[in-house]
Amino acid sequence: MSESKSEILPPEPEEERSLRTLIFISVFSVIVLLGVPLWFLTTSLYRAELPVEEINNLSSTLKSQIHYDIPFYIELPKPMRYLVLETQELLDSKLAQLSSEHPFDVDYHVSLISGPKKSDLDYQIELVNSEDPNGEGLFISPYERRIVIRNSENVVVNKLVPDFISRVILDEVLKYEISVHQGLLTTNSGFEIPFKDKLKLTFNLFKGDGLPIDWDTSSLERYLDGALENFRTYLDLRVETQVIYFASLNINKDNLIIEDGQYLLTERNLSSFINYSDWGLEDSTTTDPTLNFIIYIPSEDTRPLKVQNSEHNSFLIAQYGGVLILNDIVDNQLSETDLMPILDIFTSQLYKLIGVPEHIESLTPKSPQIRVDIMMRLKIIENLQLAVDNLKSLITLSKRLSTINIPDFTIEHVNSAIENINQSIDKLNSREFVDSLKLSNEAIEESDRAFFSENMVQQAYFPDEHKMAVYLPLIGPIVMITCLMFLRVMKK
Amino acid sequence: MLRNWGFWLIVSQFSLVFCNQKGSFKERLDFTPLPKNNLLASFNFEIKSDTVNWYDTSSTYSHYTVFPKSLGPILEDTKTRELHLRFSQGWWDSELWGSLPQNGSQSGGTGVEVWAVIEADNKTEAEGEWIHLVNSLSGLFCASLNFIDNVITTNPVYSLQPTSNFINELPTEGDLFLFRSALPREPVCTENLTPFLDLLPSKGKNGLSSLLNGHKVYDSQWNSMSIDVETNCDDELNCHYDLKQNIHMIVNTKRVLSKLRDPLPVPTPGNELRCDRTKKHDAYYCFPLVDSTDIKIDMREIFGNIINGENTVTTEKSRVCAHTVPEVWKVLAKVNDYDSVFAYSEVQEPCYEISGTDTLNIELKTDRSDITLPLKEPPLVVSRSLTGYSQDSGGLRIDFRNPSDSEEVNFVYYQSTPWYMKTYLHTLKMTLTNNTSGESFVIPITDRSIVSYLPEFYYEPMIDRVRPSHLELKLVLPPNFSMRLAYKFDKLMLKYAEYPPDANHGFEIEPAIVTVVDKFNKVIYEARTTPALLTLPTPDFSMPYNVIILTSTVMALAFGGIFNLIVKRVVTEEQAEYYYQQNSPKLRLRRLIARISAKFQKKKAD
Repeated sequence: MSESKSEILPPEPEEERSLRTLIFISVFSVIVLLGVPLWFLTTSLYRAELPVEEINNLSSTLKSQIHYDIPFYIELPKPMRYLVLETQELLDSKLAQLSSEHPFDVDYHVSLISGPKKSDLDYQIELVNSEDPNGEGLFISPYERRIVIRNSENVVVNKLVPDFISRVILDEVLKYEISVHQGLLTTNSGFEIPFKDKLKLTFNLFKGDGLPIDWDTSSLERYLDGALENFRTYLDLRVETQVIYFASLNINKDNLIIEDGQYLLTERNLSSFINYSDWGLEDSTTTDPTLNFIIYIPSEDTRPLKVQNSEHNSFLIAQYGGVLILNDIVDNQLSETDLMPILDIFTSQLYKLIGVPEHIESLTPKSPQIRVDIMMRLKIIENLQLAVDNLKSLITLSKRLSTINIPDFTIEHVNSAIENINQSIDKLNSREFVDSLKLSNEAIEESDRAFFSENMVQQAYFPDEHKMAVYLPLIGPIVMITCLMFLRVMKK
Repeated sequence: MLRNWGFWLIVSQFSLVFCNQKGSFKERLDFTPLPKNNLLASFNFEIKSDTVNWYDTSSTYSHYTVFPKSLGPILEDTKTRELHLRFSQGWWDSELWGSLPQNGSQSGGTGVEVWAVIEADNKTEAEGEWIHLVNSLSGLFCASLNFIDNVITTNPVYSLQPTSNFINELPTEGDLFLFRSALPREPVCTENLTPFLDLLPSKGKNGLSSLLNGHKVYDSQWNSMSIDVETNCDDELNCHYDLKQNIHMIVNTKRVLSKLRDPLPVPTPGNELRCDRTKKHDAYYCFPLVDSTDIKIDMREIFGNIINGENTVTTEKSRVCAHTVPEVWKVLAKVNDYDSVFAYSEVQEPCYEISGTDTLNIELKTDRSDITLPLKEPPLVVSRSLTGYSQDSGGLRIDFRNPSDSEEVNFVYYQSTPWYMKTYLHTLKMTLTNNTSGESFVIPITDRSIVSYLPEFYYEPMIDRVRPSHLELKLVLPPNFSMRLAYKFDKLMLKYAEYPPDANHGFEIEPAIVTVVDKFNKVIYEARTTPALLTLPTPDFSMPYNVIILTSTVMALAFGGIFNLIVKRVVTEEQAEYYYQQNSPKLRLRRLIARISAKFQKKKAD
């Protein structure tokens, strides 16, 4: 039987068989080497390469790259210059001591320099001798960066002058900053707005009814010129005022508690006090942070309106602004005398909302200027950390979502963010705090732009699962045929 | 602070001199009965801002008293010196209603239209500010203004010229650029009225604005809402914004009343039908007459609201005025529902000043509603239509008619058409027809004699996906003549993603603007044509997927066939037959059974 079969179906000649294998191999290699890459190339998303290494590097070494010092200038007559050196040594050893107790997160120094201060932003220490043997004391000016140390006979005789100066600097002026660096305190109070070097303040006069009112905006301007002076070095401030009528209460009158003939706003009511949709507080022009201060004059039928447990009839809304309820107005007019106490309250609220540390005895100095300085220096480091964190999140995102595309301009923003971070560190290390703050802000903005760019998250033309479905009629049969052939060739 | 009290006092006295001029606000409402029981209601609100100073960069303060703070910063950020917005709906029937209110200066074409004067150092910067401006306005007015880009924006040359006086008064730091764009497809509705009311200091709570109710305004025959901001300066160069907000609407009183009676339209019952008594009429026959001329209508019926007391914020008392024939129309003011007539025969322009907190309702009453003030004829009548029916090309035809027998009309025709209408201006033909004799003659644009009718024109051809075609013609139409302009265009192909949703509906071509000027080139009348609906070749949108799947299948089939052909062995039929016999499924099965049974027998044997 096998004889007759071979007669009719002779075995295939060897060269034919190898030719067939060759054909198969060449077709197979064309599909694998040319077809598959071409298909991938024409249907894949563009993903520019992120500088992963650089960002990781920056994130791990950020704090160790920062080593800044705060200069204090002291003017002394020549024979007393030795005091500078002695005090400096004492300062260094005290800081080292503090650091060994609770390690600093950055390399932090204080330097005492003999001579007059170089710019308005520097601190000047003045030594004054007191007549009284026990009359040593300290005066920190609230209007300029000047610290007056009054020495007494006792201090001088006991050679305690360097100790006194160093105690003033470390315990009175910079205690808060040092504690934050040691990790003993956090700057986050929950009230402050996300920091940006542009800030818009709106002062709103809201009336519950439609009776016209007039307010003295020029005295408001004059007051704010003084009150905002401390921020002007660091922040670009814009102030807008408006009068809004018919700002009806968001809370139903019947839900208000009446006590002693007064309508009472309880703490529970306060959260819904602001009518975000109707009161014209939203601002569609800018994405810069805005703080809103509202003087609310209730209409006749809900007067007097009181905020429960509030001395000034006012309250603060975290990250948003402050509200003050004014029940008594004369002649539908708010004069300078009416406005001043209100603006005092708003100013203290403003400090809190920007995140300036409060004055606490032997932690922060009374001078608002120095407190603002401390806050801004701490903000630089916070901003840098935030910018780096943003970039790290971008890497995580791009790793996790393989279907989003990464356009070239994302890389541009990432690169310029990194550059800003590095420059900001350089400026900080060379004591140029204002420039450093500006750059750290730009770093955040650039990293935000990189992270939130809309082109990245837009829907791809074919989502991955659709791609497979659409191309299945092509890929299915081809894979089937070649696989079967592959098996047959392998068998032989 | 108190320490410096004396000092402050001095300063405040000084500052009174240089101090801001505070803003002001006034409002007015006009009623004009029109033939066929129509009523034109015109709301007018004027707001003057506090003094603005853009060039003083050291000043970080801006104050808003009555001028809306939602609008001010947008204007300042984008350096917009003049802004005009129009939201309109419906078609103005000039044969029935005469010329447009305020000579058309406050009426827009169907959809949304916006134009602005922006100050900038160069055009690129100005374009950036323009895009920024429309994006900001989009959020403010709940309209799709954010879809405006350079592709649909033009810079008008003769039309829509700025009207602010600051342009002449104040030396500007930068150059001024005029941008204009329109969204003819935008549906204007209630959500656009709410932001309009929010711009007013009275917020629609009292005064005339308390009458405005979105459902009623947009239920009218025709309505146009306009917002105009101009910058004006006094002699001392103290500049301020003038914001004018207007709403004009045509209400058909009979329709309003019947809708109030039956919210759902029902046929008029037989006993209420008004039949022509001179013709046959019974239970089956009725030749209906025109609507009765007996009218009694009040604000509650027209607007759904009554005036909620005087406007407390305004600097002047709000006024309601009626423009009627006092002999037949009676206008009543009902304060707290107590009647008092304020329009009667002796009063030329009857107006009512609103004061006090009492509610006010106005009632219009007549038994001869067909007697109205004589209609003012528009100086020019225009209509525009698309011609042609093919998928790849078409034509545009614009008809103008000068109704006057004695005066010639000088006017500017402005038209911006999208880039996918490829216009061929050399095909433009002008046909002039004498209205009485019917004689007509044709002048092609290539003919020199056209200059006497078309002394000047501006044309900027379109560029694909970059800018629209922008055509402005200065035309002269002799008395008692009609003019027809016609030209051809090609319809271009759009890319898959460029089609809007519901592409088969067609593409709205924005209304053209006609500006009639007098001999001193002063604008005396403005009107818009209707939008045109252009059909473009529209694909089946599942096509790309179908193409991919079909070609894939064909390719897979072809590949399978060829591949098998070259890798499989070729044998003769006998050989195949024999091979099949040896390997047929039946035989294979039998062999398998034999093998298994053999195994079993072997096991048994073991």
